[in-house]
Amino acid sequence: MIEFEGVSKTYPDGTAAVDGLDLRIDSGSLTVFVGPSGCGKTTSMRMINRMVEPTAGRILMDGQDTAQIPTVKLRQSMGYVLQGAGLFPHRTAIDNVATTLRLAGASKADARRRAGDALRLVRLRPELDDRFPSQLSGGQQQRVGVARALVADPPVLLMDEPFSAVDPVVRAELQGELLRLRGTLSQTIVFVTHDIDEALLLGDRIVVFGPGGTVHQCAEPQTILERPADAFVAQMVGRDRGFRALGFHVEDLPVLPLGDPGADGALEVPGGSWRLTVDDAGRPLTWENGVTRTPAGDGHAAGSSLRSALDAALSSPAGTAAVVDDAGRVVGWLQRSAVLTALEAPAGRP
Amino acid sequence: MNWMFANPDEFAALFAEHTALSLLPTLIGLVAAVPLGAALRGLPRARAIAVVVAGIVFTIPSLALFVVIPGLIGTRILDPVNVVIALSMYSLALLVRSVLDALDGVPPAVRDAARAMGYSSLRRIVAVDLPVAVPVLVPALRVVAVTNVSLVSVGAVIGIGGLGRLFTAGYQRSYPDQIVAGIIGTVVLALLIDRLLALAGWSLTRWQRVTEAAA
Repeated sequence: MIEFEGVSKTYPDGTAAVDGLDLRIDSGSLTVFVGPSGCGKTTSMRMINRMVEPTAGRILMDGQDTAQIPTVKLRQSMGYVLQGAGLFPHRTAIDNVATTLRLAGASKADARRRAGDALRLVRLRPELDDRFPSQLSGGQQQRVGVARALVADPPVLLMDEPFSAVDPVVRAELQGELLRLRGTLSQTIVFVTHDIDEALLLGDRIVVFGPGGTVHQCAEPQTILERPADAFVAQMVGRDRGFRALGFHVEDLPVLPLGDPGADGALEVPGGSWRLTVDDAGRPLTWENGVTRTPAGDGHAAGSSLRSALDAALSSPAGTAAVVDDAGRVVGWLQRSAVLTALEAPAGRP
Repeated sequence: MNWMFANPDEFAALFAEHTALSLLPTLIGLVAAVPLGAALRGLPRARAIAVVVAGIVFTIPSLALFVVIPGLIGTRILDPVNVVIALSMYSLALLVRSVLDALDGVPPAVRDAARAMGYSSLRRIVAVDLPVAVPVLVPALRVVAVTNVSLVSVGAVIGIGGLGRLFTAGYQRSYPDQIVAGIIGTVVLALLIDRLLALAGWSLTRWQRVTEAAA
């Protein structure tokens, strides 16, 4: 557990980067610090491993004041992932990762072996192990950066805008990877971003920082969306707030069964002239109505959120969404009206 | 050329002396410039002063320095230490600026990552900053080393100067053969040192060449 007790950082010229921060970060949680630039979110995170020293207050790590822990020891107990990875350009991918262990005193052979394991964990292809950072793409570099931070299995992982320097496709991939890794890791993660969507996607808890280094709200993503503490948070969350809040609601929706497929394998959508063609694995391909054809999306995965259901129903030209199973195979139909009925029901939504 | 083949032992001795007198100051300058440069990076005011002082040091004529040093530190006028100290000062003056430039070129994210991983400052400079700075540092070191090879010859005027003594001797005796031997020896030594340093730099920067190949 990491605790901030009245932590402030004031620079000699009088500007306050962080102002009286009180915060508790539970062990094993993923806490996101979000806010516009210059709001003290990165400074707050960097005070955890004493890259920045607070001017007032203290930070406790499992009850122990971090100011009492030697910096080198403190930092070795915390993985750190930087924006743009910050890999050592003169070392290969595997040696970058091994460096963490070498610093902690591991033998070269042991360090390289465990570095290889860590690179497999973040799914870097083995043939890239001996490449230098400049030979890797931004996404691959960031995978190495994450492996380097995780390889020593530190109790805390600090991530400073780790995915903001890569393109949106790679970012989505890396975000998915982090969510997947969380299933196997026990780390307490503190993640800094200026992207509220990233915060809502990844965080168990979100701390919204505002100008002057003050905290406007500290809550679960759903609460941030549904009950923003003030106008600043509401503005930060931005448009489509209500729609995005649906992402946290799962309802039991009535699914209509599939009829028998036609001679060409296409599925008839009930109550209309639309048909849906599927691939060999039964995944949606194209909506067809006479000569009109529209590429079909992935459909609505059974058991996922109302946001996914509404989006699938709205984006289907047939007015009916395809419901798919875990393998992406079409298993039934969901009518737009059924989704709208569910939205009308007072299930504790705003 | 005839002189060189007629007096191989003397030529070899002068060549060896010249090598020592040029390499030793280069090494002393480098060893002093690295910690000094690293320390100055954190002190903007001292850094500005040091850069100016370094510029002034390099404008002092070498011959004047060779003559003044014995008076300052009490060595004999013919002591080779005078030349070593003078050239070390020039080397340091040139290299401290290069070390500063080279360390400035280390990406802040790389330095940040090293700090966050738990590198101590000293260990980080040796294991991260310097290797990353090699591509900027080695060309400067080559210039300094070659400059030292040529400056050692000036020492001949005060009686210490390795191959430079062939110039003074040949001139006094109107014996061009000896002068030519001195020129050949100096050029060969300068080329040799330059190539060796270039090779050392090359072998330390494989990581940089793969970038160029990939781009």
